[in-house]
This record gives sequence, structure tokens and C-alpha cells, in this order.
Amino acid sequence: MNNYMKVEFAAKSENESFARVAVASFIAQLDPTMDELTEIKTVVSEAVTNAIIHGYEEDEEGLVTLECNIRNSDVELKIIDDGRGIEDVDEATQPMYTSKPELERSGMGFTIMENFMDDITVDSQMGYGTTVTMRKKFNQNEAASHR
Amino acid sequence: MNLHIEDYKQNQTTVIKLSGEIDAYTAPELKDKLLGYLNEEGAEVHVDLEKVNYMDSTGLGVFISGLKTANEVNSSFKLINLQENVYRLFNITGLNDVMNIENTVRGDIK
Repeated sequence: MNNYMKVEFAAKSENESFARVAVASFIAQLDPTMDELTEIKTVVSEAVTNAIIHGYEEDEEGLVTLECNIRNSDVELKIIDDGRGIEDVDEATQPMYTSKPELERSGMGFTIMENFMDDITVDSQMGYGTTVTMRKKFNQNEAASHR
Repeated sequence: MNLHIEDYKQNQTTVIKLSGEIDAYTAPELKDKLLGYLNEEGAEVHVDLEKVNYMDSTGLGVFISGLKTANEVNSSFKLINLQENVYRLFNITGLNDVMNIENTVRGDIK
């Protein structure tokens, strides 16, 4: 099964629930487990939060693009912003790192994304924006149980 | 979906009962409420997460703030009735070692 979707929305935190529900609805065709659904919703939320709070620094004029590609049981997610970019991606993805300590954020967003997905890459350029690409193979438990 | 916050006194303890989802949109109101209670010296707060079916790292940030405040002013709080998927976030980030989480998790802990 191959399928694709793309949505674009304003960089407002109230759109996070829309973003995660949109992806969860789209991947329903893969018959995911509850755990898989929760994982995909959480990683979408983490990446979209980063785009809004760090990429656009809560400038609601910004636009977040969300793409989801299904190839057989492989899901690829892209969360794209045209915001300020990340100066040091390696540093930003370290556990507990936050560039905004005054907001008392947990600094665990990337840790959670890495934990819930099979693969994550972050492409960022200062002044141009950030693209987070995440991949995960679905129905692995079901495939194992049919062996 | 929004977050519904209900708070009441039970003997000497303040219970904050939550239902809904905790994310960047809903977390600020929770943070204000939680820190408001924890800023009182000696306060004891229970945060009931039984009806929280979704939380992301923004929620973790709120509870880290709560822990800092509690340590500063000598108040305390604990998280109770976590659903399995919510507990999992504390587990994979190691925060279950520093947070006071009552052992009433529903479902299997992974």
C-alpha cells in the first residue's frame, strides 16, 4: 500500500491536537496498535511543538507543513518549518537540552522522538528553517505473531 | 481536545484531577494551577492523571517545574493513577526516578 498526505497549518499550539489527530487518522489504514497510535501522535506533537516554539518562536504567521508517506508498512513523517533554524543540531537533540530554560521545558522532545521511532534525521539551516524526518515500520508485532 | 482541571481539598491534601490531553496548548493553565498550590510552604498536592489519555514532553516540563518549586518552598506533590502510555514517558526519560509516582498505574508497565 502506498499513500501520501500533506497538510499545512498556522504555527499555533492549538493546532497541535489537529496535527496529531490528522496523522493518526491517516495511518489508521495500517491497522496500528494502540501503542503505535500513541507513539505517532506523540512524535508529531513533539516535532510540531518544536517548530512553533523554537522555529517560529510563537510567531503565529509561520506555517508548519506536515507530510506523511506510507510505503507498505513503512511510515515516513516530515515536519517542516521555515523558521529560524537550529544552530547546533547535535546539541539540540541531547536529552535535557533546552534553548529556552525560562519556559521550563523538559528538553526531552528529541529523546521521546528517538525512542518512539525507528529513525530520525534533522536538517536545519539558520535563517531558513528545519525539517524533521522520522520513519517507523508498523505492525511489527503482528508480523511476528504470524510467523 | 482540551484539558479539564478540577481541584478540591481532601483532608490536608489538595487534589488536582485532570481529564483530557496535556500538550503545549493546555499545559500553561495546568502549570499555573499546580505551581499556585505548590508555592505554599508545606502544601501537599496529588495530581490525579487517571483521565489523562494523552501527554507529551510539555507535560513533563510542567511536572519538572512543580518539582523545582516544591523543593524550593518545602511543599510536595505526587502523581497518581497514571495510564500506561503516560507513565511510559516518565519511564523512557528516567523521570520516574525523581518524581513521586504512586504505584497505581493501569495496564502493563513497559
